[in-house]
Amino acid sequence: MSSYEKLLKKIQKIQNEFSEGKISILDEDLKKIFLDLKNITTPEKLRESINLMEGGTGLLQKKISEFEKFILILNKKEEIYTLLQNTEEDGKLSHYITQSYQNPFSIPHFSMSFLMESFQKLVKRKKKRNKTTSLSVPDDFKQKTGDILNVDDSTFKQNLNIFFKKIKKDLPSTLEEILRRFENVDQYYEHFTYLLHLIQKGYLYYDKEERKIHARK
Amino acid sequence: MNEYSILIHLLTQKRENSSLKNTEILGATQKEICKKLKFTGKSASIRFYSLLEEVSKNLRAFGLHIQKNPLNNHWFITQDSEIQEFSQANPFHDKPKLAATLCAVLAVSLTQASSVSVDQVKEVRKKKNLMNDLKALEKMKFIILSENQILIHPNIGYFLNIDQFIELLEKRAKITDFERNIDKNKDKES
Repeated sequence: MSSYEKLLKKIQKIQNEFSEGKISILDEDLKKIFLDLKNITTPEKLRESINLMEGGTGLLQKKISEFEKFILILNKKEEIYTLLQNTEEDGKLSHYITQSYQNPFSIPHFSMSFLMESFQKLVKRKKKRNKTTSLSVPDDFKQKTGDILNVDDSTFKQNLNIFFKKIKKDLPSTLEEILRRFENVDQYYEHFTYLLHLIQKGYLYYDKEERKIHARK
Repeated sequence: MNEYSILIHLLTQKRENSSLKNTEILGATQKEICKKLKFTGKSASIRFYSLLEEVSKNLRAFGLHIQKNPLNNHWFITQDSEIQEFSQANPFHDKPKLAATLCAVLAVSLTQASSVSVDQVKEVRKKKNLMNDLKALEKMKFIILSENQILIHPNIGYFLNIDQFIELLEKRAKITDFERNIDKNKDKES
């Protein structure tokens, strides 16, 4: 690999890692990049060097802007320290947090893939329902249904217990927090149903003011 | 799917964070968005910002804003304070002590280049049971405790408007400093 390619790769790596938030541009030694660039610049390679220069100055611009922000805060360091030390009331300090608090907005369960999957499942179920309605009811239907329900019920109870044990340690939590981990459509609705059953059975309760689900002691 | 719906999907998507256990990343970086939308070349950045501006204008009507998490450079959507009150409770609503500790941790870490030590926070907070607050903040994924060091969790960039926090703190510090100078002058005069 030529020196030019090496330097280009290095600049691209810094750019990528910075845009992904993996590194702070303040920690990067950009001086070395410009010195290397100076050393490899020849009249023949002037065009390539200009390209590299563009990448390097882009990084430098980012570094200056981050540095300006940092200096601005640093200038107020003493005043901020004094403010913290002289404010004994929790309420006054907590004001800065509550005033800047925000809730990020995410809609994983309204993503195209989630909605498409839900739609396809619904279509499948509808088709199935249409087909089954045309079938005649077998004679031993009641007996069979009874057996099936018994088996399902015990499996359901087992799953319910496993789910309850799993979420209990994280309670109180919001509905969103509990169901966040289930991005698959089936799992999402299955566990939502478990929550409803646990609330109905009295193991859990929903606090309207806090908007959280609690375990009943 | 058009550019708008792809952008909204990217800004509201949640993924598991591979570098931090049990943490999710919300939104996407400029590079990821440009890649998905196939914005390439020198105009990529210009197209990215103009699309962001356009979508942002339309979202404002729904009480939503596009913001960048300065701690991991991911763009995401956040809600108006009025909608927040309506939809979700602020976890610091009835916990002023916890919020005050977070305020101290953030203020100290933003004013210095290196990581913050527990002792430094104790020095400015002068409160008992500070460790309980720090553990609670770690559980909320706002900080990372590593022995005596406190690191700011990138997750906090989603829940706290850092620029607004600094602005509020700076304003208050300036006023306090000004008031103190007036008091000093009064003392001299008397």
